[in-house]
Amino acid sequence: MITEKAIMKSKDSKGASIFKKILEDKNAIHEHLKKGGKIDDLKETYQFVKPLPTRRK
Amino acid sequence: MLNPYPLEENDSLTYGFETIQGIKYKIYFLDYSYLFDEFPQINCPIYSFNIELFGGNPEISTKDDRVGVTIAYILFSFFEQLENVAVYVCDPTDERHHARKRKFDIWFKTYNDGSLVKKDGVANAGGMVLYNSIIFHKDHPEFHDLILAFNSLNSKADEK
Repeated sequence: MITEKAIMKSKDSKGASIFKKILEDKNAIHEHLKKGGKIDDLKETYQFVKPLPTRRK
Repeated sequence: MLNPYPLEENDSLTYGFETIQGIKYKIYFLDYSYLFDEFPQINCPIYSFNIELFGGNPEISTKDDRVGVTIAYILFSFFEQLENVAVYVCDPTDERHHARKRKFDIWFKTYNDGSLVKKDGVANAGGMVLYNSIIFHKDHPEFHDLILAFNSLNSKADEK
């Protein structure tokens, strides 16, 4: 069984930088909102998208 | 069956909803397709899916199953576009990554009607253990390439 300690001692995974980037962005956005910032302030920094299909009533 | 909370689109970047107990959630997607450039066989959009709690006090609120139903509604709408792919990473910085993974796994098992596939991985990033998942539709046109790429991302840097 692979334990967390064994994983931590092993070399970085190939996708380490991708997963870290996703987490860092999420945390930065969280901190920004926590301080009262608006999502709109961040639209140039992060690639926000609205991928849900539009539903008209 | 519970109904999802009405989805608000108060800005051009996020979705939101407010629970009956006054807890406000903001849902947003970020496009990370560019991070997968080294996998030329993958041509579909890859997004992170994020939930932010920004109003009300969840500490004093009681369990509300409509939250899970609403999030499921959003994700199933997202996957109406068959090519869409979502990546989810559990934040380990406060040592609550196990709890996050467990909660996410339970939520997925509860709401998945069989149309979605979730693959789980564990990556090492500078000594941090990152539980991660990729979710896509079972009929995704790049199903096998996505699994190969995801397995590769979670393999060690010196592995072929």
